[in-house]
Amino acid sequence: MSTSSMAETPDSIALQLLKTGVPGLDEVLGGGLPALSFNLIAGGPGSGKTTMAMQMLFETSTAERPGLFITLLGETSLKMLRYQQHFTFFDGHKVDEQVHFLNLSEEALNGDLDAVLARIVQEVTTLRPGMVVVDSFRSLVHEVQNEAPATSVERFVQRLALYLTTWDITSLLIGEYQEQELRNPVFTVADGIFWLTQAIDRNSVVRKIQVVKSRGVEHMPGLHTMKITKDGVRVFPRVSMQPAAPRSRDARRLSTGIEGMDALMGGGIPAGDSVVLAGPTGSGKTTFATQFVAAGLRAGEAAVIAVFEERPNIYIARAQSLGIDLDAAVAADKLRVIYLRPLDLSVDETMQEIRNAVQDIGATRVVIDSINGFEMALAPTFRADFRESLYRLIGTLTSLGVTMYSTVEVVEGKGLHLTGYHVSFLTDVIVSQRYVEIEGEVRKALLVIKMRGSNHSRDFRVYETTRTGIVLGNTLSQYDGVTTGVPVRSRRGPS
Amino acid sequence: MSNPARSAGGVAQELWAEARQHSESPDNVLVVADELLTKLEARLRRWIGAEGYAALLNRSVALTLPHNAALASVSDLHPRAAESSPSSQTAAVFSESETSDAIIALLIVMMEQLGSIVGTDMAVRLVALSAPPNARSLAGHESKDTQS
Repeated sequence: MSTSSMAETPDSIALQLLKTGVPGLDEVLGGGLPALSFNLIAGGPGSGKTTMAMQMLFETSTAERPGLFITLLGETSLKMLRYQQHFTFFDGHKVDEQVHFLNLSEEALNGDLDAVLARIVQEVTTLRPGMVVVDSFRSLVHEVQNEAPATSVERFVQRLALYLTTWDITSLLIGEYQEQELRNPVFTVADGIFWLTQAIDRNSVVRKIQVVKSRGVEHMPGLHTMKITKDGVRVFPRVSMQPAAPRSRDARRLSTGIEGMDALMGGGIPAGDSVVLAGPTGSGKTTFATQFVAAGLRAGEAAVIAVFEERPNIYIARAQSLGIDLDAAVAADKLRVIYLRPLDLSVDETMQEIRNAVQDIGATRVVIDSINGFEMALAPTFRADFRESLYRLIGTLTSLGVTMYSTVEVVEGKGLHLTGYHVSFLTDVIVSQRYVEIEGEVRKALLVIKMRGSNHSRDFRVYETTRTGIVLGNTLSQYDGVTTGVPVRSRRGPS
Repeated sequence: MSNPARSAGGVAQELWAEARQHSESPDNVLVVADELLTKLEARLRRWIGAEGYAALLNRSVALTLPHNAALASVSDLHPRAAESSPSSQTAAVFSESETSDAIIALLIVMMEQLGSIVGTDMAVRLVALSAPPNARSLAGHESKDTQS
């Protein structure tokens, strides 16, 4: 059984924290599930309650302190076994040896709470489990409420909690509760309450978990998204907003990988900054980003590319056509190309994927290609808060010390169009691209609009996307009205 | 489960052999059958309750009996028949090997019935674990008896 401990003060005991085996949940719980705690996992049907409890049971069970799963009413033990065995955490060899199952539906159907408690006591005395799960507790209470006064239910809960705690057992009660039932006595007795929800928004299903309370630990408040996959439940802790406090700036400048571009930017991109490259479709945003990654790889740095709009193989093939071998970098574990396009992502899930990749390979450069694709990949419910989400994403990644390079597609018009997401306040560098008509020919031009703390060029520069990448051309200093897209030769004399 | 799966037939035969070995009346197959089925019921009731076990047993007997008439001699399975014909008389009708084969056939059918719900490997494991602790290797690997 894997454990850790909360800090011990002179007047308190160290609180043993159990690793739950649910990825992300320990982080939300402030380190793990407090040993000997009496917890309630509440939520509607299909919200993942049983799977989460089962994961914890398999994680914590040992030969010396097995786990015990008690079914009262609802899904029978056998049916549960039928479905749960398909999860990868479910080790069939532990069944009935390290993880025991007990069906008490007949005792529960009789409505005799004393008999139910007696059987639990008998079983616990025999097995000496370290963790006990009771499923579904709510249905038991519902079954007996017409036959027993509320006080007997309350007394049952109190006695059960007392027994389980004094027997050195960590327990999980599973129940289908609604929010209006929060006054139920079990909520008062419980040391920890995990509230699981499942919301549908425009064909997208989003699962969330809230740790309503967890005595003795400093848990992460708020709602955290979660998913159920073949590996079971996975929680994506909601990363809090990063304060806008100035970071300790790294004096290094990173090359953009484009000849002449670094000079425009006062020597390159300050390490740890967030760059947004905004331009219309076909303006070469992905090529700019790819060259930024290639420059890092040449310098021995590792990089992560989060792709939202096309598959990695196509992305890599496009780079290959520029003479950039991303495949080799992937093979050498210097590059991760993450494909995120399932249309029901949460921001935290995205951040987790990118953060894991960054930490796995020690990446110093991260490309988000593109912000528009990222928004579309999110479940609709998260798009409403996209600006805040982007703020958290950029804040989280730059706080890791990586330099971010994000692309965003903008619709051309008269004047300068920045990102369209009103996120300029959280980016350090903004480079704007646009099409301009010069002497009857459509050209591409770019301008470094903003670079915090840098003496950057204010000139428009034309550029071309060639077979070897981006090639910068002349400035458009001799033209006026470049931002209109139809500049005219300046009548000003040479300065 | 990564360890090699045991076949229902193999486990049924080994369970029967273990039951005879641990019985105080190994030569009385009807007594051994009762003892084995009592242990099996105790284990499977944990999963499916008394009613669930009764349903499983009834269905399995119904499927086995047509090809194994000796099953009628086991009082646990055929109480009405047992009432009209005491075990000693019935035993005289069927040979020891016929009764043994019938019990083994019944165990196989029970595992198949359970297997349709939880898969053959898991069903074999659940039934195999009804054997005495020292015979738990029937379940597919060496085990520790944690029930003190």
